[in-house]
Amino acid sequence: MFEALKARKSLSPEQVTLLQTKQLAGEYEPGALVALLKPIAEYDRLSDKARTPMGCTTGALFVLAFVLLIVSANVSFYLLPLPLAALGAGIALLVTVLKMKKLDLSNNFRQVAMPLFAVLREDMEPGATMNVRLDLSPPTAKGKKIGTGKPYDVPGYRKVVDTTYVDPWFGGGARLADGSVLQWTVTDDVVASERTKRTARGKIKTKTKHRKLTTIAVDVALPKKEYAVAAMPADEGEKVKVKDGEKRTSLHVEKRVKTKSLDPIDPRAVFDAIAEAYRRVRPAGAEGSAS
Amino acid sequence: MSGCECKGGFFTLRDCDGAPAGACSECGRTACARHLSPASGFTQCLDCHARAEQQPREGQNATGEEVLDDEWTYGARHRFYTAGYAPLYAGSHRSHYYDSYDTRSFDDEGVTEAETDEGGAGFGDS
Repeated sequence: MFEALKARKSLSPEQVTLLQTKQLAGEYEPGALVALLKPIAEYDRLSDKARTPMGCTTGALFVLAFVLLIVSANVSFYLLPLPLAALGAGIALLVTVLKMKKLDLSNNFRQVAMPLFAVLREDMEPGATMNVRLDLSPPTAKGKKIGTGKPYDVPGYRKVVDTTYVDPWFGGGARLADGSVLQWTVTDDVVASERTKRTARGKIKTKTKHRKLTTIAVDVALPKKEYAVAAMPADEGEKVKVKDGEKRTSLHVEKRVKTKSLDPIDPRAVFDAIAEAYRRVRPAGAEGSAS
Repeated sequence: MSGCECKGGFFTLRDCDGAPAGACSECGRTACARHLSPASGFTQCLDCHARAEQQPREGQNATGEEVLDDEWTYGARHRFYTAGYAPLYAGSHRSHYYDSYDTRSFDDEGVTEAETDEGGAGFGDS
């Protein structure tokens, strides 16, 4: 907990603003962007790690306060400061946990966006900038809700209500060192399925299950002088379109990843989508693989 | 080639040519300060260090929740290449060091750094 609080204190005003608004948009040099975001990622990691034990400790302190209150009422009123101290500590901890939860960023940030920045840094000329748009609010935030379906029945459940969300959380563009222009967007379509059932004891219980479809769309405009496009079939779950221009060949790659939770996708899926464009080209003038 | 013999880039490889800061104890290539691995005590190049650490370290998942420095990037690059991606090489100093990745070259007739042939042997297949 103290590590997380220390990490929070060490953030610059710009980083704190980013943490609070959960939005990032602008033109950044990848190295500077990684340097800017790294402390935020570290705070988010420590915060994620600390919140569960802090929540448990809060609960334990409330129980302890209640037990001490009973003991002090039965033994001596001079013991009354003890339950009050436990209650005070519990409330303070609860406030801290709630504040940390409010500042929690989507794990997409640490597990998808940051690795992509680190990789693109390697493929860009030193000093070149990339355009980035990041929305790190939760994928099921109110503003991302697009509709709620009518309740329906599923065997084993009394009622199921699906709510759909669209979260276009990540996008950007960069000119790479080889002269190519890369643009990408990552959009999560989330279905939160609220399932209500009656247990064997007659209680009504509701649980929410999530299904997520992540669409990674990548456009790579490759200079014709350098690259020639080779025809190749698209892999399963991928769409590839090739557009021939005067000076550039543009490849549009769309990859879809389905998951049954809100957990971030493997960043390799984004790398693969970009790589898919490069897989389809060969150096202009070369007959194929050189090795 | 008198500069750094390591190649930068992820989706495409390109020459570094940075000012030499040392030689890799594993492959013998000359490397600039950026391409020498701090984790190896600057005795290995980032490529050799990544090849030696093929599997993610304990506590490090494939999602790169670690520091995301050059060490991580070159490790991720090595894993990506050994998983089947054949990078394009867009430089003029072709090195056999990267042949194990089935590198596709822009210049098949380009200068070959024969002296770097030894270091790449025995590591990841593509």
